[in-house]
Amino acid sequence: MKSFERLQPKSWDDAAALLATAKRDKVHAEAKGAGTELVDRLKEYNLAPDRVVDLRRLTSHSSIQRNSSGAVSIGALVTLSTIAEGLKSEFPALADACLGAATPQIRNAATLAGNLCQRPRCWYFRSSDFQCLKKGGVECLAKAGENEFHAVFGNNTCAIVHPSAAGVALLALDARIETLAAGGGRTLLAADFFQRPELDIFSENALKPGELIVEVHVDTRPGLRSAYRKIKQKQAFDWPLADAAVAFRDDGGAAKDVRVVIGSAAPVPFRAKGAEALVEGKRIDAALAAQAGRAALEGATPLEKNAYKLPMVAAVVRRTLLAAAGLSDGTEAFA
Amino acid sequence: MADVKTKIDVGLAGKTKTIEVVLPPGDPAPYAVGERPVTGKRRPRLDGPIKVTGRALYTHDVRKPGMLHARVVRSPYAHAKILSIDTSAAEKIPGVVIENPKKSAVRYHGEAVLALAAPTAAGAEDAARAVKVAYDVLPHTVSLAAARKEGSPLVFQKAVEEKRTAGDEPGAAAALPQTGNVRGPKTSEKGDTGAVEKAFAEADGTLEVVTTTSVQTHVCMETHSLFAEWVGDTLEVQASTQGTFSVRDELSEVFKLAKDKVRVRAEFTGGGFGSKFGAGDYGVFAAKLAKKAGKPVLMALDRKEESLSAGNRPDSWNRVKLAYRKDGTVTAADYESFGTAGVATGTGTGGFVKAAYGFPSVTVAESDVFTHLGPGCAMRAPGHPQGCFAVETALEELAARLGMDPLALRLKNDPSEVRRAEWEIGAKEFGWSRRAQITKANEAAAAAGSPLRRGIGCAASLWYTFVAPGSQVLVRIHRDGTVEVENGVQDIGGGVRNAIAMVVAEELGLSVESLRVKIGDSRYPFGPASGGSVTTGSLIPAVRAAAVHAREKLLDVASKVLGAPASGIVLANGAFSAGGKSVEFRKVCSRLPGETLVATGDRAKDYDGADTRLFGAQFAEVVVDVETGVVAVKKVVAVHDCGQPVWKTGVESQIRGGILQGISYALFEERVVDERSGRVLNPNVEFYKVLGSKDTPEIVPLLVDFYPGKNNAHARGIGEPATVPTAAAVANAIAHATGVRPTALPITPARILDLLGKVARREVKA
Amino acid sequence: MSDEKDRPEGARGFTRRGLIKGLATSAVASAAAGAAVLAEERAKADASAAGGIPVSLTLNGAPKKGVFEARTTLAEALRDSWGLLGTKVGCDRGACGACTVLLDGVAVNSCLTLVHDADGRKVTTIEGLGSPEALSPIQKAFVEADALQCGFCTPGMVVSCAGLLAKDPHPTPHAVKEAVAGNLCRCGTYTGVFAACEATGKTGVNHG
Repeated sequence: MKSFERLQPKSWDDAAALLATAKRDKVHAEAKGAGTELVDRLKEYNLAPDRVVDLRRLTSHSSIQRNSSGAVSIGALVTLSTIAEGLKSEFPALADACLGAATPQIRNAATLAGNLCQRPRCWYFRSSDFQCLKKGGVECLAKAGENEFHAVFGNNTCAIVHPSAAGVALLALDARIETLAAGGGRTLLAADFFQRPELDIFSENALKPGELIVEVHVDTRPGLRSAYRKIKQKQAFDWPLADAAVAFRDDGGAAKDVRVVIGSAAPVPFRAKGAEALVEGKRIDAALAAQAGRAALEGATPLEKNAYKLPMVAAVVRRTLLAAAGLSDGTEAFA
Repeated sequence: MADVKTKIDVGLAGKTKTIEVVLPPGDPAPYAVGERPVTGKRRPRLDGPIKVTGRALYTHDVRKPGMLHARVVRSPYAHAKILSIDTSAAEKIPGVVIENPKKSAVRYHGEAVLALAAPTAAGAEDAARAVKVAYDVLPHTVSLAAARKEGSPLVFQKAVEEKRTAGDEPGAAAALPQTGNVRGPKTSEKGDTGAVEKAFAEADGTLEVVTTTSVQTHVCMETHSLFAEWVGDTLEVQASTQGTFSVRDELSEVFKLAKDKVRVRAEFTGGGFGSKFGAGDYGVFAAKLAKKAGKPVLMALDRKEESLSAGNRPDSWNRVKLAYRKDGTVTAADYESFGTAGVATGTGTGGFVKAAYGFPSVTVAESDVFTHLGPGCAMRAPGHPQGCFAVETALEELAARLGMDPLALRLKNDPSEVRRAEWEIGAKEFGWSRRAQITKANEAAAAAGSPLRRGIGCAASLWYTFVAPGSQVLVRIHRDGTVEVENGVQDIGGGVRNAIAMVVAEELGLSVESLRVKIGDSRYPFGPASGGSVTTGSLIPAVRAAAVHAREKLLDVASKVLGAPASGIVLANGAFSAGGKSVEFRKVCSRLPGETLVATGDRAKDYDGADTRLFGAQFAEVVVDVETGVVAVKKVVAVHDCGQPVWKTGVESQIRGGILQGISYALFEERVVDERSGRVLNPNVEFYKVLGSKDTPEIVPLLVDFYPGKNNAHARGIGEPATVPTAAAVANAIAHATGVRPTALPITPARILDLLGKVARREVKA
Repeated sequence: MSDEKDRPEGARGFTRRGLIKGLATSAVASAAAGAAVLAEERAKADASAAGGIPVSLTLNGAPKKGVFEARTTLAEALRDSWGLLGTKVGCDRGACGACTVLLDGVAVNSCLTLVHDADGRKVTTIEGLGSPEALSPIQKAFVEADALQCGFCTPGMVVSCAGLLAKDPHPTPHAVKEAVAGNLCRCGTYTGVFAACEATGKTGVNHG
């Protein structure tokens, strides 16, 4: 890892100011939470900033708060482990997404904001040996290369899959992402936070340089049910081949405001609106879930080596719908 | 000394027969059939406490005042000419020393260009990045299929001589034909010439199966590393190695030093699995840098370097043709293999087909295919998991074709008494008889809409008892009763020091913990490299001989102390006893005629006539999710022949480990190469998938109680045989579960879904 | 916003502390303000020893100080400066777990943790859990179950198990498998690890 200057701001405002100064001065600065993602990239020389602005020691935005109206606010610095344990009953989709991410050691350190902002795990992008489109190269190397773990939807420009499992759940839960930057912050819908490569090849989200996530807000609703499921080749530490989150409001047995979000399949987590429309207002059962799983494949454009992901996407959507409805998906004996 | 003939009992316990063997001069007679007080039992690992507390220090952990940290500058290209190397910026970093062999070309991604060292690891990294190398990139070929094609870029212009390492299987290394990138075939046969052709002509039926396997990397948890320090004209080395003596020999050759001028130590080694026999280019660099700097140097490869450059199990393409009779008897096999070990040789997979079963006639043709990739090398049972997967897949297919139970088909073709016993023990423990029931239950599950299918499968293991000649053990007993046992052998995890201590403890009537076992140092008597499952079989008979010789000498002293003839004295529980009198071990030692008593034992050659093969049988149970292609291995039952085990705990641990590596090979492991750039995409443990805790099934390791009668301890190894059949057993279980037959490893969800017809073909452009 | 203190250890969970509403409208920082912050930070750094930033933490129960470059990881500090070589580096990317230590009692990868991030916190390494003469219960159980072969992954594996047992003294087999899911063992000792955790859980001793 290249040598860098470590800056330890005393407040979030100071942190934002330090990032703004660096931007003004055209100095490469990076914000750091736990560093599990950043240090990994620094070691690979995937990134070589001159300054690192450390957020980890800040006390605000480091806990989960519940307000009287039923909204839950998760600080940017809350670890994945804390979310996995603390939000099991309110938001099983989010808790399970965090519980299944990476390894226990990573989850104990990694923050929610870091998870949402982490860069893709595409092997062309991660390796210092390759200059892919995202790193200023002329083409997406995965599209004509080894793309077995790449996108099967929305892969025309760049075939990465978004790596954040928490993001899949947050999109299903209609979360809002609050940010801070020198000059003011804003609140983004999760759907507006994730950004397709066509908009900006160099970033997977709508954050501007120097803009920081400070809180993630999720509303509880009466009858809210949610679930997250994923499919992995290897059960101990592996990136999902397909994952999905489902949320809906149980209205006397009928599913309302249905969200079906697919992960590990496109450069962003995205809503499978065809599947949602099928389920909306209906009672979920095995047949409907299977039908929704197939509907979720609409618009898929698999690459040479990843068409196998399509049956997985259908399966994971089916299973997640059933899980959210509290029904068996027939795989209990597998564990 | 004259030959001593003796009668010994050999064979499976309960079915032994008495044979006469000629004992090598000075060698004790083998253990008689029956229980022994110490060896053969389970007990805690002697070095367990220091390993579980982090006190065991490995080569990675060497820290010496003034020590430099080394780094290697490596090629980012698969094939290139080196136009220039500019080290001027690196030289400006304080304390940097550079060893630049001025290479003119590189042949694989990750090939070493030069090495340097600096006072800190970070400084060495900065210096390595400051080196500017200009390349002229040349065309490359990186896949087995592409490299076989006429006109593909040549990896070597001239014929390549086979370089053998201690972990390779012995075989003909004679000059082989070389056409393009293909070197071979190396042909061999079993049975009469022409017998295979005749059998195929006369067969009731014939069958052909093609299987492929992927490149597996060793992923030793301690990456390859070597510490070098010049003390006067002596090169002092600590190495993470499977062979203290093979590292010494290589360094003494490179530096033209007498063997006593190179000392190699390996107190603890963090895994090897076949990849750590030599000094390696990194080790030679370390020694050169240390010489140049006049300071000690530690070279520890990072994970990526190890993956790219420090060896791998070659991939393979195997074609098995069987001629058979309607009753399931295989009358002949015709076998062909191609494999790529990158810029190295040694990809043959034909050993299994020749010797595992009783096929009367077999022809084998094996070819290496060169590619622009890092060198393959020995890896746990070289060639055998691949060959086993090919042959066991063919047998499974034959059983299905004939409507036979797969185990019955194997018994039909298995003349080995030992393996027949193993099949029987394993089938009973595993519950093989459930097979038809499971098939029915799967039909019910399918009808009920469940995506889960259960399956069971089995496969045979085959390995050999290789012996490293010349192994010698020294027992040194001091007047205070201290007993030292010395041999230069290293412990890579198998736990040989435990076996050594147990054998000596048994012969000298002492506690295992009281012995000082000194290993991992080339200054001690010669010991085997730990590869090919040779360690126990090579060393333990020498340990026993040394201990027996020491006991004989002690009995002479005790005889004087007790006033009783040596032949009537019992040595047990730390005391010598005769005629109701007893005297402590230490007391007898205090009466030694000299300051120390020294006894040695040599590894005598094996008794003639015994089978050198090691047999095993494994059974696997899987659950396959046919909606996603994901496989969970639920249980493996393994029955192996380890002769008479010395330290049973270690044997069982090695079986468990071999099985887990086999499952990992079956389901996950695959080095992935980008064809266009020729670069490896997963030289790490994030994208190179290695089995972990949640992929670990229940494992039942069992041993047949067998007296092979080849050496004085009935000792044999277990490292390799445990991993040979696992992948094949898992594949066969998957076939049972799904009704489709996997023919390519790893058996990924993608491959299973494809076999099940669930991947839309029109979308696959392949 | 300027009165924030360093984050106290264990500031996780559901405390109300630190909730600040309307952040986006709080004092607006600017690039110019950042320059002042930068100058202040640099003045502090200059005051420290040359070539590094001081760190002070509790290491295996005892206070420990050091001065390190910003890029130094906790694993490097432990191994190269503080002589605690029991913590191993297997992949150096947080994917193998050989470098696992407890940070404020929780298992983390020391190869991905910058040493400055451990400032003011409690670090427990394998050396802090027990010694060969006085093994902790989980270490003893590892030896008894032969949950080790080459031993290189073992310190990290033991630390992960100790972290689990501190929180969950009687873990289910599933919890054990999950707790070591980030620890890679190439020799294949997992079944021994499971047995060791199970045995320790049965003894009811509430620590690793």
